[in-house]
Amino acid sequence: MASVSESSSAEDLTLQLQRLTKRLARERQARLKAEEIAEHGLRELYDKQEHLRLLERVATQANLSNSVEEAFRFTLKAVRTHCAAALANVFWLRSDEADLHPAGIWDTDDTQNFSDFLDAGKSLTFAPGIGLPGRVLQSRSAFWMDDVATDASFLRARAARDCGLHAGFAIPIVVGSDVVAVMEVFQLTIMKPNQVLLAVLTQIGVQLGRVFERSRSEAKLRHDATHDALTKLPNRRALIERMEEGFWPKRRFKLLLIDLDRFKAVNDTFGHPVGDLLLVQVADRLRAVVGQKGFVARLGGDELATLVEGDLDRALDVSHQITMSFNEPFDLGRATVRIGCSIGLCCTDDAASVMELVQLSDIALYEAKRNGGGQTSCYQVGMKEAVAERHSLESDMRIAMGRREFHLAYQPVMTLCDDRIIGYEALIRWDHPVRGLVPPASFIPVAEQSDQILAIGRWVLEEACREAATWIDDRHVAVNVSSVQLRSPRLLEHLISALTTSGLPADRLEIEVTETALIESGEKVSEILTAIRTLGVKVAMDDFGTGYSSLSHLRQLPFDRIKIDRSFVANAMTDQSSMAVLKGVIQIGRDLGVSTLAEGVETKGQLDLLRSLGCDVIQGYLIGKPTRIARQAMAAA
Amino acid sequence: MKGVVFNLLEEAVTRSFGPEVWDDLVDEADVSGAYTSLGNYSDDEIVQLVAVAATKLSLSPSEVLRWFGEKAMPILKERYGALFVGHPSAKNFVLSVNSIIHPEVRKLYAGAACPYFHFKTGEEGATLMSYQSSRKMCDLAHGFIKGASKLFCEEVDIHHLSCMNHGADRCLMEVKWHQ
Repeated sequence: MASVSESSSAEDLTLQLQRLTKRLARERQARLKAEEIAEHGLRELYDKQEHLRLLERVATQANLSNSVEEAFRFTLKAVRTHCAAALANVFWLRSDEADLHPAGIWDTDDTQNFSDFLDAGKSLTFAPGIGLPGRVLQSRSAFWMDDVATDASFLRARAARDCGLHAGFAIPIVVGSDVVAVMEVFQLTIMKPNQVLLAVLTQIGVQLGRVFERSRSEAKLRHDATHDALTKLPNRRALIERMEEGFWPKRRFKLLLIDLDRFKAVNDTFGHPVGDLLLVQVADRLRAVVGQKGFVARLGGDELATLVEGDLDRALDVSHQITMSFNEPFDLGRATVRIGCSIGLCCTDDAASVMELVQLSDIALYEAKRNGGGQTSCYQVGMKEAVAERHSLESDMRIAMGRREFHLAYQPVMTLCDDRIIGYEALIRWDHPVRGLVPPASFIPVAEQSDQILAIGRWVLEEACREAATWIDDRHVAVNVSSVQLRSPRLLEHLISALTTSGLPADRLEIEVTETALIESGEKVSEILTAIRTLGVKVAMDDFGTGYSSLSHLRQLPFDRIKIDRSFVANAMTDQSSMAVLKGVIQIGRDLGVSTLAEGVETKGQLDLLRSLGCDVIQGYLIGKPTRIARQAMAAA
Repeated sequence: MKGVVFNLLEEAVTRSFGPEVWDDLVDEADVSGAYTSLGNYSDDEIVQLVAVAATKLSLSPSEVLRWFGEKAMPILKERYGALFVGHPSAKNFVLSVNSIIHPEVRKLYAGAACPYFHFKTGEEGATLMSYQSSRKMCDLAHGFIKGASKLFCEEVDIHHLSCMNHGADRCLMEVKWHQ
């Protein structure tokens, strides 16, 4: 029993041992499995945290960064470190190109080792579908190669093999649905695809895309801030920047400011849409003249500018080409117009800064305009001062009226048939408290350009009428009227007002207009002159012979008198052609039944000559200098 | 010391000498013996286990560590196969210790104090590897390299040019690869 019992007990123990051994093995298996599961979980958790950290770092940097390059450099380093990779590299699309180009941005700890590989990439561009970057460009999704060194579709396989690169993967940098760049990462070992990593890197691609997008919209804002929307030309700000950054340091260029002649007329006649169309064509012509490398800007309105490198001759040549080009008619669909342009040119030597260069060119342009347009004016020393003087004169003139600095002087005119004083020409005088007597030739042009002539002209009319009304006999008073006044719709009203207020009979007022003023006053001048004469006011053509001397003007326009310029009188004795003009004009006056008046008669000889030629009336120092009326009137009395 | 090292040692001893020998080692070393790979245990325990093993096998602790390192490598490959994928050679694998293997260790043990190995290329493609650790376990590294080369079916010669166990402030090993 005992032995049976012992043997059974031994069997039990063996069985129990076996069961325990099995149980231990199961426990051990379970522990290993539990450890494996736990390790897997820990690894995943760790990877996720690292991925999040990477995403967060890149997102933060992407938000901070204003430069695509800067954002890429940061991200490449962060991604490469995260992946423990050997090299990270970027290809991107240049504007309007379909292929990827090397961006010249990479990250590695061992540039020397990978220099051949990087060089291999520098000479390549990747069309959609070609190579690792091209595949990503085409599919717009990340792509993984286990071993680029042996992958036939990897164009740089040999270079990769030579420097020990194996696994490689690339992700798209996307803006909206467009791939704008591809980032590639390379490992020193062969690796199977890590989809989680690719998903994280794809997110990073979206973050970097935002930097691209922001950079693009900033570039657009910058472009818009420096360009004219209508003509697409750079604007004033861009011109200044260009000169300051690119040109000024060398100082070997000329600035040409271009102002269109008669642009306002086109705008007024055909409307602003046509004016805009004209500006677009103007911009195109200007671009065509200066060529692709030339710089053209629109400064606003109808003012443009270009920079010319080289000497003054070259600048004048370009200026001439521009003028010629702008003289050709512009076909604006509804109309064909001719405009022309004025150009102000300044050399860098004359200016101490870009701003001064612009200012001086502007002065030169003003001169070109002032001299009638259609021409180029080079800035010359003294112009600036002359402009300053004009401005000063202009501002003095504005207060001169209130200070009663103007007065009129009257020069007598005498008939040659009976040597009788029949009237006076009223001449304005400006007695400036500091400048002294300012010659009319100095301030009248300034007054005309600043439109102050309207106020001054009105005062002259009123003052002359008021004075003349006090004269004891029926002598007339002649008043000069400028083209600005002739164009003014209020001239007639001012005439009537001056006559009414003074009580001077209309036939004792004579208006003198120069031929130039007639031309400048446009087509309606005939109507205006007729209306003036209808009032009973007489009209004389002043300075005949110096301007266009058009006989048709004399024939077509209603005149009561022709005033022959003093130069013919002065030269008649010595110059045959002056004598011929003098004779001719007097004859024409007689034929047309218009009185002729010779100006500037200073000698008895001149008087006798004019009398012999049959001139009706004379004026000049021989008869009397212009003086204040008080004495004249008394003398006449 | 990480629990996984104790697991590897247990596995190596068990495979070579049977589970009883491991039980004896645990008893004689007077250590708990209950190790999980995720746990962290006193360095003294591994030192104690190695010392007992050395006495039992009439080997020096250095020799035990080298043996252990070599035997541990195939077991590591069974357990962490991913670490071995993609390496064309033992050298390539060993050089990835800083960049791949230890980062993987850190995933499991936040803040693990992994030693850092400095590698330099020596004469004729040899690798100069320097190691500095208060654990002074250069022999374990030696064994690991031996074991790795066996896995890649390569021969390797390792010379300890200087050793912390012999008073140097750092260990410097020269590894000659025979592929």
